[in-house]
Amino acid sequence: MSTHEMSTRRRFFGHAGAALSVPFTATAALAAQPSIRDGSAARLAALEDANAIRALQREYARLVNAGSHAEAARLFAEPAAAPIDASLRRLAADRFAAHDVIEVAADGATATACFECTVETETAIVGSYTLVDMLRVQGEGAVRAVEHRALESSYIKRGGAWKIASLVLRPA
Amino acid sequence: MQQVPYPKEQMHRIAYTKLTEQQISAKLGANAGPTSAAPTSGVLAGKTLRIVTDKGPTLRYSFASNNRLSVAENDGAAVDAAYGALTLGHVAVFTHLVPGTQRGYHVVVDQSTRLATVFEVWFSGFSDKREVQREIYFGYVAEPGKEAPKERHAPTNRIEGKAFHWRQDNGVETLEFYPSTFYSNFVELTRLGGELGFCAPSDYIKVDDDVYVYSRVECEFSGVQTLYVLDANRAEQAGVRLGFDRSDALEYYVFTGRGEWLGQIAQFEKFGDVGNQPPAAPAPAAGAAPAAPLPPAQKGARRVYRPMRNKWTMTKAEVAALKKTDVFSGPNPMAGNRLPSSTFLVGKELTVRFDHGLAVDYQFPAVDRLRWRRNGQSAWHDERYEAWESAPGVIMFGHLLSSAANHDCYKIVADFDHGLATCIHGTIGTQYIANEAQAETWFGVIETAGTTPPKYRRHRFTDELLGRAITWNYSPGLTSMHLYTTPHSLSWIIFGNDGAGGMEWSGPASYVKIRDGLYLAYWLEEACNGTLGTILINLRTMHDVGIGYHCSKDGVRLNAMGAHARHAGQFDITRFYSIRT
Repeated sequence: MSTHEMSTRRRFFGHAGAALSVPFTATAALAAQPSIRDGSAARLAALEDANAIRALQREYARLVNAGSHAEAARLFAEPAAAPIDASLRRLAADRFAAHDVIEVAADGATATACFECTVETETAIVGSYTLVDMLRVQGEGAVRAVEHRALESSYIKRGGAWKIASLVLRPA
Repeated sequence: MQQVPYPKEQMHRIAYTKLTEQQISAKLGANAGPTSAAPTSGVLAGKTLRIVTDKGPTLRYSFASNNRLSVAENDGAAVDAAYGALTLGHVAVFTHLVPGTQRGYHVVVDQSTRLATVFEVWFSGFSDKREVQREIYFGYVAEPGKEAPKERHAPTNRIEGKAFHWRQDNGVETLEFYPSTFYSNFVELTRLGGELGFCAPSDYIKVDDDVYVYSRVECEFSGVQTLYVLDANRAEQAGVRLGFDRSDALEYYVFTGRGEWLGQIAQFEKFGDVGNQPPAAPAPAAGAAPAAPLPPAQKGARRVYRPMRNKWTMTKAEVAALKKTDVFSGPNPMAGNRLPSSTFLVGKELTVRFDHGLAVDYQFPAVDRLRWRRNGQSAWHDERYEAWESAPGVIMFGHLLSSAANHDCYKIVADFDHGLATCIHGTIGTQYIANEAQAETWFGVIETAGTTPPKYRRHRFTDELLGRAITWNYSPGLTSMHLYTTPHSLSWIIFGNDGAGGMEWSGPASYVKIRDGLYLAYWLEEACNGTLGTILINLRTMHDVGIGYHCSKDGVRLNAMGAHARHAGQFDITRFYSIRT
């Protein structure tokens, strides 16, 4: 992992996969960073925020993959407004994604992130047509696809805990 | 004297008796065993067999003669029963019922490998009690001192795509097509005169590279089962037929037959996929209800298309009261690969004059609006329409006739290069089902400024598509195959995600030649969901344009159709439909 300091936000480029699916063991890695050895409390706080956001995204992916969309919605600052994509069957981080980034605002209250990921979707073919009916009887009737996407999200810290403010999966 | 026994009602129109369990028991109880037109085999007479199946019963047989056996199921007591046996090379097939029950067995034994396939069959296992149910068990013949074979017969797709003409020893002739891995299509040449092809859920079992077991049950029709062992190389069959015919008489006989291989069409599974694994049930989308769960894995479960149980039929009063229409209202999965709408007709005025006397005047003020009137009348009618140019100068367009008595529609193919037009006139309502479409074909000419149409030449009915198989990819995930098995019917097969042919059904159809390689086809989804499908097939571009016409409680719908085609092959069957003297 490498870190870059910016004037108003702290940007963390990283090993993409960690955010969505790989358990993150931050402490040892962070301790090895020169910037941490500087003893900057703000820098440490930002790194901890980044870790927390990764954990949040990991939990989001776990719940989505389990089909627990309602539980996933509770990770949002406004659960009622959480985007629910019923076609989404699986969300997995790209293992060697090079463009993942987490930016934590200087005040440590908001953040944004972008993760490269792979999504598996299954979209039901809708309509009352004979062939569609027969597909359903056959046990099918859905279009499955595997696509690379960019998960773009923003976060807000409430009561000391990070919540997802917005999340969208854009074509990569 | 009529030589061809056309039925008063085709299979899909017969109101088969809902036989009760008591009636079935009485009919089975009076049966003396399977009959046969030819002598049965004595290959098993005097022998004993112990057949062990992997997930089913162990059957102990003692064959007293060539028509009497005793059988003990698992550890049960032996019972005597009549049976019939036949052989096909090294394979023996025998069948018997279990006295006092509605059950029986059809057993296939490969005498060279000792492998066995057992079909347990029974009646009264479904709401339609006359429908034969079956469960398939794979196993072997146990012999003292010998190890059990490790191999087994198995489901297969290795005869998917084949077709045969079969002539049984009792004179029954059929054309049988295997375009799917769990359905088949059959044309009853002698029983029904060969007008239409019908479909039935089917099993395909591989015995070896030459020999296969095929079984179908005519679900939603008589419920009769036809099972036979076939040798694909030698085109021979030996099998059994069990069930109740249209007059409710028990058909239970064994038969041999000789056949003729009619060809092989393409398969679309991945290379290496030989279909020996049962289909996996797809997982539902996260957070979504399963679109179509497979039937529970209960004994005898199979995938069966039962369209008449979907409660889609309406009364005449309901149809007459329908006001709502849905005319080319937007995207639909049947038109994901449609051609763009054509502006060819915009600004034109013309008359389509049909040979039976009707002439229709048209004005086309916009790409989606037309005006029509019957020639000689003054009032114009405005309609929504769509048009596509399938080939240069050949336009297909369609529209409803608002306020027409039978929710009529016209689907017209107009060849402006030749001044010819053909109309498929669709109406709603048959003598059987009030919201089922029917169709008639009108031939005629185009009259418009600057053209002189031919006086005698017309588009014409054709058999040129007969035997062909053409796949249609309508949109992602939605691909079917048309199989033109008779001059008057069409079968459609749904492909699964693995590319294997799957669910299949059929309906009456008609074919008109527009130009070389350009054909107008319609089919009626009778006793299915009542749709009239009409497509213009272009074999040069391998694309179609078309219009679906459907009536339901949601209203009368005209929808665009459009798909990319692949030619899957052609069976050699034209000669079976020539009128001979």
